[in-house]
Amino acid sequence: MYAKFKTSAFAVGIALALLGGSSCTNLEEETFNVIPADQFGQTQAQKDALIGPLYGGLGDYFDRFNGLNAVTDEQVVPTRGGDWKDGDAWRRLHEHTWSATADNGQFNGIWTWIYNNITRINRAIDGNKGNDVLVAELRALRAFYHYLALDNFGNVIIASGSVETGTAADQKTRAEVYAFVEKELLDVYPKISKTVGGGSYGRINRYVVDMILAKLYLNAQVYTGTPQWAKTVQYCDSIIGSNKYSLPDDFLSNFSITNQLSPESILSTPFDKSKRGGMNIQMRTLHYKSQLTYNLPNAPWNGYCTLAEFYDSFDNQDKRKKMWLIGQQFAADGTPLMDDDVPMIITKEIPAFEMPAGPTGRLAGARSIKYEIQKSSPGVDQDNDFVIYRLGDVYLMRGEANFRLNRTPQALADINKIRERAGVAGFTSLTLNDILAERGRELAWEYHRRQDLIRFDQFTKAWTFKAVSAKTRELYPIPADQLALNPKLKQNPGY
Amino acid sequence: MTMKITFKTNLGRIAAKSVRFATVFLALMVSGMAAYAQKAVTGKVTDGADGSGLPGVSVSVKGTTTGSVTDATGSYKVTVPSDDAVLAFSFIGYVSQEVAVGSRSAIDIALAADLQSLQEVVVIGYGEAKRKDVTGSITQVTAKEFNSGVNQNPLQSIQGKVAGLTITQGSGDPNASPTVRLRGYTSLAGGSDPLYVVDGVIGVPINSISPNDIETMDVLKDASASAIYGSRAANGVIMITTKRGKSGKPSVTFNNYVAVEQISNRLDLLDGDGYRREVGRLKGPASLNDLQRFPKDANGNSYNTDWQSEIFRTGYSYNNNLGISGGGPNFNYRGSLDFINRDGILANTGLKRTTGRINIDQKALNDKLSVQYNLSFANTNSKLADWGIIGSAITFLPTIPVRNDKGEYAEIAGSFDLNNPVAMLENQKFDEVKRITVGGINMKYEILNGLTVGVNGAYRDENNVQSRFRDGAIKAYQGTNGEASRGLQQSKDKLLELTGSYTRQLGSIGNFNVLGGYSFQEVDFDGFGARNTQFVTSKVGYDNLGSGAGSILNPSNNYTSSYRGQTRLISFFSRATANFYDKYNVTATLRRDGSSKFGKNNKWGVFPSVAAGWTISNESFLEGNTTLSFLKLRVGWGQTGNSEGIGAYNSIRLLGPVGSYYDGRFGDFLPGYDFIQNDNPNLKWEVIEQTNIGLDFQLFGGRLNGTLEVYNKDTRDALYRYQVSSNGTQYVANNILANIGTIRNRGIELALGGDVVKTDDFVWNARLVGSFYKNTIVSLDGKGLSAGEVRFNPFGGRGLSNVWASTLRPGRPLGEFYIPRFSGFSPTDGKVLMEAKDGKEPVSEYDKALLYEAGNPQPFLTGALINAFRYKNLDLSFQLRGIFGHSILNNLRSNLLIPGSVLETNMLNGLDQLPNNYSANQLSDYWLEKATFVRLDNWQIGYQIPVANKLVSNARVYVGGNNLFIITKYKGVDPELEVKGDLQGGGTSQLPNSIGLDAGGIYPKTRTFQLGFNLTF
Repeated sequence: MYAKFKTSAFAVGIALALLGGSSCTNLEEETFNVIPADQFGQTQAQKDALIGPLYGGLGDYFDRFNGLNAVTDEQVVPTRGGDWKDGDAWRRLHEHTWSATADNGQFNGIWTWIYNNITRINRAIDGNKGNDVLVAELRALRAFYHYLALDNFGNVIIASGSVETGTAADQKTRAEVYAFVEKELLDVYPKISKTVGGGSYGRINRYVVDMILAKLYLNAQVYTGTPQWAKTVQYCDSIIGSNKYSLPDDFLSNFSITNQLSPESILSTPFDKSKRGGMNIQMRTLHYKSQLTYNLPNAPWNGYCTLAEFYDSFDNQDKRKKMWLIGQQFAADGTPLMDDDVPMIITKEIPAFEMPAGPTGRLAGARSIKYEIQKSSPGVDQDNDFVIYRLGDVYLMRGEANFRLNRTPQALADINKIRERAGVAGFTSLTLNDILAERGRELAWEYHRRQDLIRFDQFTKAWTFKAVSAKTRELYPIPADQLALNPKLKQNPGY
Repeated sequence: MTMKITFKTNLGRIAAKSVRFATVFLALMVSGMAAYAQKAVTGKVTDGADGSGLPGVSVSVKGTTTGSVTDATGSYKVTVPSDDAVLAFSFIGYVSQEVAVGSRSAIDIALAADLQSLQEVVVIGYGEAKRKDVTGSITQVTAKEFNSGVNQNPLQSIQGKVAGLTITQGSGDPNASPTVRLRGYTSLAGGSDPLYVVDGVIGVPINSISPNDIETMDVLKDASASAIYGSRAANGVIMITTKRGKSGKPSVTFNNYVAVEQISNRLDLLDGDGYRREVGRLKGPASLNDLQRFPKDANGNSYNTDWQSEIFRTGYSYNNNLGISGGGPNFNYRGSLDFINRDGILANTGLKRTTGRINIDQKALNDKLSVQYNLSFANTNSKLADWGIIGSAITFLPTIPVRNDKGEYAEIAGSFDLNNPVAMLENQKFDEVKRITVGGINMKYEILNGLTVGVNGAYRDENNVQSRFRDGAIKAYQGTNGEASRGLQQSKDKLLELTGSYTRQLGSIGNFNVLGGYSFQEVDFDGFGARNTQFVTSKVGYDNLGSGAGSILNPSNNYTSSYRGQTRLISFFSRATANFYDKYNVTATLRRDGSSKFGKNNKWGVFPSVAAGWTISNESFLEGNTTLSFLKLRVGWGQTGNSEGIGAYNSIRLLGPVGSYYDGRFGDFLPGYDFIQNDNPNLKWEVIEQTNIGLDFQLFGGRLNGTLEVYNKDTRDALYRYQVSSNGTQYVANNILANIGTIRNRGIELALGGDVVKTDDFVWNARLVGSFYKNTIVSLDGKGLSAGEVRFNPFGGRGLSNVWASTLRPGRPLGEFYIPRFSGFSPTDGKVLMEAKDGKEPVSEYDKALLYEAGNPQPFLTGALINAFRYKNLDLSFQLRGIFGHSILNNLRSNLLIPGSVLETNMLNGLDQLPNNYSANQLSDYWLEKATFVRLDNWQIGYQIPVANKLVSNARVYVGGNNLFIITKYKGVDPELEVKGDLQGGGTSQLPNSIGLDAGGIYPKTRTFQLGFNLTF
């Protein structure tokens, strides 16, 4: 009896001890490998580590636009046998028959990239109040993302304010967003650092702001209906007049694997083959067997190329023509390569958008080696930094604006400076078409082409693999996913 | 944390006490028996069906507390007070018998198997119940009914046996675990696996248990049965009870088998000559001059390599299992050791698993205290398979030798996707070691008559080390730069449960029981990994990571990693059952679960259930009916939760390292931090509300018995990783795990069985199990969140990025194929033509084609026919299992029948059935096939060797096997594919796993032949 009592008392004792223990109803999470958001951002090192990724995010610029560049006449992704058919997505892009739903991934990718970066910037602006210089830089970066949004989608959201303080996400007209970007950039303009290179490399400085403003004004007629050519000239002058940038003789050095050294770069996104991957244009464009030419660990993907007519717009003596890979290909040891049973000769001609399987289709179209191919790179990523803005573009922009202001001599001076470097004779007279073609040769595959074609009203015209497209195609659709998530968004006309 | 210490110390003290009490009571009992001995009766209890001795049968003298238990041979000895005594023989699963002793001193008795099985005890959560009183849907499978064959995983032992429990082994990979889904697909991101409870320990990995150690597996199917497990019960609960010792003389069992395993079906690929012939026909004879694709040996002869034969082999397996058990009235034990070695049919793959288990039962304090100790250990050494090798063996050209003249692996330099599979096989090591130890103690003490308190404590310690090396000198692994990696994952799980239970007999009215309890479970998990690349020698592999050059030449922050986390679940639960007049049964349960993983606004959930049973056959109007001997109606309703898909810290806003950024001040890249997760303070379990109506019946005195069940299962607050509006202010990260959607599963299940023929010498028992169900994604969006258009089932192949065969569509079943209708090949260019959206001329562009609901990868019916025959000492059993009405999109075949692309990969025989200029694969219903099949899952022929030997009490030899044949029209390798039905990465991705897509590169299924014996000493 005693034993019985003792044992039952014992069991009850255990039960009470356990139930009474505080840990037995405590459901607070103890964290180990994760960082709750309210426990970070206090020290300077932590703040730096939060600002840095805002620019790390900018590094996805290349990733976001390299495929979409296929909507222009400088890049095409034809179907080679079954390869690159991809549900006809590339054909839809090139023919301007994309759809908001079927191609949601493309468009939503850009949209979410833009606005997720804006969210982060808004948070960082909140977290760095009092640091006026940094806040000015962040506002400029935020304005740049809004500029991208208005350029691609037109009627978008103006997002200022953070998760905690933000207001409802209303859709604004393209002109309203234009006004916002302009005001923001002009507001912060005096506070932005004029330092070039060093700690400013890859970040916003005064001249990047000049560049964004110049681009905004260059396309003001498209965005608002009112041209701003004089203001374009004004901000181009600011960059050129600073004498902080120059045109290197070697055009292609702007795109080498050590192009962070180029004096021409105004805004680049730094890449590294292992520390910050993402620069993989060589994989997208080179033929499978070019693996043997450049000693690559992986066979490239044999996709992107240019149209024969675009390739032909380069004179033979034009040094910039070296950006194209064409003709017989050789292995690293110099032996000629074969594709199946025929010599591996890349042709500028693309017989059809959709080609049957076989060497003809695989070898069709000139490939871009504008960005230097990094031999023996260990993975699919290269060291070249992607150049968003550079001085060459500034000369062409100023030339174009001056031409449109009927200042042809000034225009010729700027444009011929670019032609001179390319080793081709200067123009003696100018037309808008000359300017567009020059921009094409100078800036091919730098993802300015869509904007340029629209400004010159050539985007919707017909070319080899494309019929005339509707004017409404000059704006991308608001992504279907965003329409579903935000009832305040209305689709752009024509979709 | 003080609690843990208290707990352990107390257990230790109780354990020590128990042993002391046991000793005292043993002594008392023995002396007591001696004092009253008047007459000894001996005898043997046998199985009325096959005459074998029945161990563990309780033999009691009616009206006294005297009794005994039969030993391993079925023999017993009992002392009776007088000739008037009546002996009662009872054993679970057999009809009890009472025999008057009279003047006899030897009484042999044959017990008839209780086909009605109504007295059988099934395991319910935190207790047991008699089958006749059960109100929920519970199916028990006992060891005797387990599938024969090579089954290292207990799930394979019950595949096909339980209506509504779909167990799919999608491959022949010995290291791949089967997928288990109960009653349809209830969840995308909430978790889909059932909860495993092994001897009361919640959450033991089932692949760490040897089927040889299992006594019963009870599957709790409906909410009223499983709701006692609350927030983790939605996918059903599988209760596993391991074998325990029985009183009597020690029994030693030894089971052994050896097995050979071969690929069950191969692809009908072109051989070297066939490939050359097709290339010559389609591309012209000049194509054969390409010496990369068509090399010749020194004598000018072409090669002919069968890559499937090069990588596959005959696998040999063996299993040894030793069990020793015994005990006395108050103390029983069973220890076992099991070793299985299984070679995969893909060379260099396989597993070796050792499991050990000790179960001890102790009774003390006048039998009022009972203690169960369980200790188990499993160690699995696996050689894992790289399924990419299988894919390469399908596509690599048969005209290439394994090695070229120089003795190097032959490769096609500069080829995008063709790699020598033998080179891949021979130049990688891919190993895993898993260890798991589970210790548990379960004490019950009867404080007063009918009032029992219990303590259940368990500790599980698991670790897993995965190591891999791929030699960068091999073409296929150039891209990895010769990567070597090791990773450790470990977890520790502490469980403590306290229960109180009160049972009261209400005279002739019936009885009732109430149970209450508290449960605390804490899981700590952590791990780390390291990798390196660019090794100058392949000699050290992953054993010396520091010797790689990669971390120096290509610095990056992904060479090392580590993680750690913790989750805690606290619960209060209760159950009340009442049984009246042997006709009416009522059960109600309630569980309140609190989990650290849930959002702060929803930390606690309540999960109720109620159920009732009515034994109609005990009503006067059916009493004495000889045809319908038993009929019971059960109705149950309950809510269970699903929360295993929620990980630790999923509800809080998190920052974390995100890649790197360039800092010009240092001229280098630094790690950046950014938001990686939105907070969701409302994050909670999914609610699965289930209604179940069941009818249990027996006809012809139990000759035929069965169960018919109908259920409706609604998942509400279904979890999904939703897109969030990207508007620059509202959310910090791209998606949010939230409870929005609704999913419905409805079904009918039937189990029917009985002895078709039954004579003294010949018995044929047959059982039919079938399940119909229908799955519907009712809705996905709401509360301002949208899943967007979730497209999945990627139709893969070259030039097929972003081509999806299924879309999550409200109102439609998960995975339904939504694809164009094939209308022909274009006579001009060989392109696939499809029915157009505008209904006019067929089109060749995918975006102009009309998509339609082409088929469902989910079957409408799954069923099994289980047969067991016995003729004298011979027995034969086999199981036919079928899946009916599902469709498979044969993506692999579509990539291997493209005449225009014949030079890209090896192809299947039959290229001439397609236009010569057809060269681009196109998604359409042309590749959709009906995949109905019937498979002979397993078979076994055994012979019970008559033993007239004191040493050996039972000896049986058998031959058997798995997957002897399959009947199907499906043209792929096998129509049974892995069917997970949830999101990839265990819910971390937004993309559902593929379902019904035969994408190739699948480790092929095998056919097994087995020879074994069972011995009992």
